[in-house]
Amino acid sequence: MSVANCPSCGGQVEFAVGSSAAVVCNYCRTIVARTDRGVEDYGKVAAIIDTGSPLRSGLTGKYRGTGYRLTGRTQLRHQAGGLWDEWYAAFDDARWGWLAEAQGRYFLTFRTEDASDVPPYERLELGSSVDDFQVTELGVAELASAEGELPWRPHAGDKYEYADLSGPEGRFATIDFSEEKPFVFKGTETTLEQLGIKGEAGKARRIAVEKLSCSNCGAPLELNAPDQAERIYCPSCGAGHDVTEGKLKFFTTLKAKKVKPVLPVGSKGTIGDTEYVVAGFLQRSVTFDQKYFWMEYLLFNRQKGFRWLVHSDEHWSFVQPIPPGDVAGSVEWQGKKFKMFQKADATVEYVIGEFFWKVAIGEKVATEDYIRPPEGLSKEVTTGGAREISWSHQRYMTPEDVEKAFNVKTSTRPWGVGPLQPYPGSNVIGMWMMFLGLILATAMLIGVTRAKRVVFKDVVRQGPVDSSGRPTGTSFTEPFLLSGNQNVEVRAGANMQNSWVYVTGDLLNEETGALESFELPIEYYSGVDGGESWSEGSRSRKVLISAPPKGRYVMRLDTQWEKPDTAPVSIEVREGVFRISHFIMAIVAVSIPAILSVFKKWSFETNRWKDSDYSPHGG
Amino acid sequence: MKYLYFIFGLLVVVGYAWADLRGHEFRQTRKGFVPQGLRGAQAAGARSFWYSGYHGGK
Repeated sequence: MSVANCPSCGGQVEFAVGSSAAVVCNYCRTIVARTDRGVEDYGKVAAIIDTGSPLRSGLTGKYRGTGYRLTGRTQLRHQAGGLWDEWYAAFDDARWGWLAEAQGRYFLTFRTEDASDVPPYERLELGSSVDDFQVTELGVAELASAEGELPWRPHAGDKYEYADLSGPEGRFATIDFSEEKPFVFKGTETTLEQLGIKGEAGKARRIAVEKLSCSNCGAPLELNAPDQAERIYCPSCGAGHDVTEGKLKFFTTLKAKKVKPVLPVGSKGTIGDTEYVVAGFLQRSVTFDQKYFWMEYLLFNRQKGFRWLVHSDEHWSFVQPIPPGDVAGSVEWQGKKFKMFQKADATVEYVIGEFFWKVAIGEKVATEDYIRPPEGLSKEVTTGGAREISWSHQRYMTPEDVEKAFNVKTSTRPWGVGPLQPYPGSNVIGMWMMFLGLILATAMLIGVTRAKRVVFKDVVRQGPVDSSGRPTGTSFTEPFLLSGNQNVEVRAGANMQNSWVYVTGDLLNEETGALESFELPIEYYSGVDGGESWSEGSRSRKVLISAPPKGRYVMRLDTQWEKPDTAPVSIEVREGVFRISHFIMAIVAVSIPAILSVFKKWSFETNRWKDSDYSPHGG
Repeated sequence: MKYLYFIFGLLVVVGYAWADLRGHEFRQTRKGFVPQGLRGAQAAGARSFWYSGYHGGK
């Protein structure tokens, strides 16, 4: 440890870590930098703004097996107005870790030595790749305040360009362009638990909700996150105020247009196991053939940070931010592929409540929505001020879920099909395939095991002419045996032309006297008409009899021919005949509900995609 | 729906297997019965009752 005197006030400053570069004087807030010429005055910084962080200088922890101590922090101002903390962790292995904390999220990075292939700031584009990282934010940071011992030498009021990059699996990088040669910091998003900070030390301190009043109408205003709020619009009169360190500064009054939120600003609800307060409410729109509006509720929880609840056409979804680097190029997240649904510029139409950025009516962001019901991904690209790509994950909520969570009545039911609304029916395709397979297997089994067998064969010839002058024939078959439990087919056929034969028959069980009667009208006509040959009817006909019991049978066959000298009628009896019609009936029976279900789903999906320019249904 | 379809499909498969294994035909032929007395009374045996005017098929 080395001790020096503050060049500004003469107070004692301590450099506890050998490799630290500067320390903030506890007495006069001067940045005292350690240089090869001794200590130098780098200017005074403002007092630290209480952000309710669970971290503090002096806190120790262990990250991936290596101990560290937080020595100090800087507070940096974002172009959009907000602040974030950069904590400095002196590790036991002599490394410095940069621990960024913003809106309840933590990113631990370490400076890398190789920055040779980093393009200059001007050449970086949002979404472009550097190694396997994607550029997600380009902006200018301003040093607002600092405390403790720092591994670098900032000047009070320093402004520098930076690029934030996101990689797969929560990896994170920052390029700091504060000096001619950029510094590259690489690391990962982390949690307090992973940082080895547990118990009371890991709990966010409760920052009292600030009770303020509107400078325009005097209505009470509550700041739920006074440390993070940048702007608040009075729900009573629409007066907009900038928030600076918990103080309000009136800047505008919204026009008369009023939209009544379903969830009032300030109301509380529990989603999952987390209680959120509705901090703000936005109405946004996109314009295609006309303007389409939807509502967004900004939810806040001290531990979890900010979330959104989106309300469109009475459909709801819960939205939380995700690391952009976790979204693969073809819009894949956690192994799930999402389909492009909509691309548009969203405009803020109305706003009330508290926001962590300087939101204003007319603010635009380019949005891209991807869906995989009941989930969705949303990409927003901000180009005013800091340029930023952010991704968020959406999950569909029913109005009942929202009513239960916030103890409100939403009064209306969803209309149409929401982009993230899950199909309420079931997908029975898999089961359908299974049943088709089972029916086919059954048919094959029956076909193999039940080979048809001819049990009787004979010919009936023309006999005497009846009273109408037509030849007839009556025959009695010899007895034959039927096996039982098998269907019986009686087939009659005659090689005739332009004529008919009518066969009637009785199948008699000689033992029981049970009788099955049938008719077999056969007719066949053919000829040439206008040069084209034609035919109708058939030269044979069959009838199937439902499994007669096992036993000895005889048949009587009465036959009548249309014309004399027509060929005799051959008669054949078979048992165990494979029934293709039964097979088809079974296939049709299991297919009808499945096809109806497919049609219902198709109709639902067509409805879902009808407002999309990227419909797979070609709408 | 999935559950109902499962039950329905299962019934169809079982019904199909049952119908074909039992040789069941959905279209039934006309059934009749020739009493033992009528059959036995005929000198020509079982077939001769047809001569007595019994024509099941017509």
